[in-house]
Amino acid sequence: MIEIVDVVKRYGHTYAIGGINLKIDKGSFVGLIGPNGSGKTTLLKLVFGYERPSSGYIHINGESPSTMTNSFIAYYPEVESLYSGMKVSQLLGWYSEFFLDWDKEKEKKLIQFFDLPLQKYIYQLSKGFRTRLKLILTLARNAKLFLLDEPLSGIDPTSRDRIVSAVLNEYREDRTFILATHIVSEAETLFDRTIFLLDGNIVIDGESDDLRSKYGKSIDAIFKEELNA
Amino acid sequence: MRNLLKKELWSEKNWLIGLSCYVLAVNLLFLPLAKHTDGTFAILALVFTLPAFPLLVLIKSFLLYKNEWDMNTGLLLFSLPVRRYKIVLAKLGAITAEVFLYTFLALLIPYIILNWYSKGLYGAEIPTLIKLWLLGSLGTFILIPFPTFAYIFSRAFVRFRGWIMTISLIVILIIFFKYIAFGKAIFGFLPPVSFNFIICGEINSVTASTETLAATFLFDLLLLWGSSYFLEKAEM
Repeated sequence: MIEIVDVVKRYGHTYAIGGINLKIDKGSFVGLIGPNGSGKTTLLKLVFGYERPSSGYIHINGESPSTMTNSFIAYYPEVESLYSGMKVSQLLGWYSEFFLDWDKEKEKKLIQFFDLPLQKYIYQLSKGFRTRLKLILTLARNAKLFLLDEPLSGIDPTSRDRIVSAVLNEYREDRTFILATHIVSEAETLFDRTIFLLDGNIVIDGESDDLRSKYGKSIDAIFKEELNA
Repeated sequence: MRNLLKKELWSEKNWLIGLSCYVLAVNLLFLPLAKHTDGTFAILALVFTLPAFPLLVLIKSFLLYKNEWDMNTGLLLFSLPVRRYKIVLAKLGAITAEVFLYTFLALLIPYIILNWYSKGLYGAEIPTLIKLWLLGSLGTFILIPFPTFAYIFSRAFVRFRGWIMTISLIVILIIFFKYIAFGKAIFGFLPPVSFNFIICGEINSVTASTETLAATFLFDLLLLWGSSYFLEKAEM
């Protein structure tokens, strides 16, 4: 599904990604874990095509990331990215029209699940609701690959549980998920593979169960102790 | 494409309302002068609404893109499975609509007021008004691709984007002025458009160089192609 070969991303003299090789199979749920500034967002942006590698290459289903691969990849950005002057219903209606894999039924269910006020303007929504809306824009699609960048960050614990269960509901064997987070405890049950990033490099990579057995502790504990996070 | 344009027009809604209110306010401010049929009202109303507008359009032409980066909304826009030249065209479409609508209002409102008071004696005829409108709008429209290209081109660089944008805008203008004589020669077969209108009791004549307009359109097309190319490469 995803092939990342010798990928380096440099901004001037600063290395954000320092030479990553990675293969991710179809149907896996990968946790991309690392402290702030470890390169998680950059790696996801490279996979989606928001950014281009300084060297190396990325293939998704044999294609380089481009506007055309956007048709089967859904990206959840960590930062605010919504048009605040639009109403929730308006944004959903506008955005959904671009995607053949948009699932109207799923959209309705997610709106109910997240209790989203459709008639409000986006600038009137709290951060929690804006996060939920971004999540609906991502999860209402039947995409082949989901890239979720810190969907749990800055969210109260109750909302985190809702988000984790919403993501879990969407997981299928024909869909691949990569979830980047530094809040590991709530999300680690989702991961069947965990990749630890530090300073733009992969420091630990393995099946989550194998890592738990090897280190004799949870993924969250490995993250905190081994990465001093 | 239609959907992209819809979003851009929606985003410009408040600007359009604000600009329309401004035109109305200027005309109301000078309304008492409309009773004196010497044309002072028309001159003041037009001077306060039209000459600065192209400058506003120049600024808007790159702000439409800059805001996508500054507000991070580009993450949503560039996540769409559409080629980015369509985004360039949609934004161009929205700002063009704004130009044509604003110019229309800026000419129409004083025209109505003037004709109300002077019974058409000091105002322009409808076909003349349409010509003035088209000419004014097209004259402003042809400027849009210049800052658009300069800003998108600057996004190809990590640092000094403000400087790169300014320098590239200057370079484009230099190239444009060097090109225009050659461009005019290509379209030399086009006849100029002339028309008269009465203002302050005097007949004024306007001649539009269609060859200059056509040559600029050709240059604009190249800039739009370049903008699409660099936007396709731009990182978010």
